[in-house]
Amino acid sequence: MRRLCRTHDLILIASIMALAVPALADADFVYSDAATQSCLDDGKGLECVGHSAEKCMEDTEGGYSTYGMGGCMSLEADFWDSKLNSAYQSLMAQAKEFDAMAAEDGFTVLSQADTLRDMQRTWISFRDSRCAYEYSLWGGGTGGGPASIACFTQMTAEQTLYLQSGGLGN
Amino acid sequence: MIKLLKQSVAFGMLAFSTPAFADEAPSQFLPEIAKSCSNTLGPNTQCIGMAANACMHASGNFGDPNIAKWCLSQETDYWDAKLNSAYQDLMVELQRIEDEAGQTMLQTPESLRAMQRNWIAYRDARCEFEYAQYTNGSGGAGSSTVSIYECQMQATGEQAIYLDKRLSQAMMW
Repeated sequence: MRRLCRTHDLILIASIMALAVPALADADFVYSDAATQSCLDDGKGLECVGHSAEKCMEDTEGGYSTYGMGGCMSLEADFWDSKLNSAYQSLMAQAKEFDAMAAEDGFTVLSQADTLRDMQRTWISFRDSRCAYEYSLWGGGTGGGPASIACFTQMTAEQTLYLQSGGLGN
Repeated sequence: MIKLLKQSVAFGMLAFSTPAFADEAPSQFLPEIAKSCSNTLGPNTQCIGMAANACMHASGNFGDPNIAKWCLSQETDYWDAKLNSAYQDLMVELQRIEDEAGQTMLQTPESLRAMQRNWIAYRDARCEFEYAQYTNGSGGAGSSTVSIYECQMQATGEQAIYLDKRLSQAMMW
């Protein structure tokens, strides 16, 4: 079984699972990261969001059902989530290196590692509350699940690109 | 400055020490630049920074940290006003939609409020991080505080644009 929604909030998981009409077993999803990854390799950034999910919907039988869309989108959400984690880890390594150098030189500066960690923590709350807001707009309708996954993916992609750029503006 | 303080009350804007300027504006800030960009592209993050950039150039002292701070804070004010009005209009729309639907359990106004509160915490932490990246950088203290102004403008612009898009959607319901 493909792992769905690894890091999503319970509300997101609940919203998808509530729709889990068992017409499509998890094993039936035809999904690959390739479409989104190759778009990113072409330097297209945020435009790439949704490419792999779209391809999955096309290739999967029943891919355009609410459950199919939710599943395909979740698989791409996992891809972005792991991208975000690597971008964060690599920026954190740089930040720690900078902090260590500054300490060695006897500078008392604001810690890059600490401020990066704080930012990421507040970003997670911001993301969760924005996606909860977008979910609420559907009033419990079936569109709420895909809407909250789309929100999760969009925000994760934006934050990934932000961290990859060194965390400096746009 | 009074305007900025008023917004601080509503949205918890960090009270950054605005450099002291003479009564006269050190450059010309044209909000029309941001407006005409939005008219052409719609709510788009590409529009963030254009007016501040033009303002820095117009001063004839591009690169002067004090001019940069002034121009950036002008544009932050511009987006902050957009953000405030989009937020308030959106709140009214959500309330209307809930009242019409008779579904107060949807909690949309509450979740909008929670999101905005979390955004403020995120914006402050993000700008603190960007500031930390410039501390002790080659530009020294002058440029490190410029990075806070730039971050404030960027983050405020992004959220204003997001709320603006949501408002257009809500008005169609």
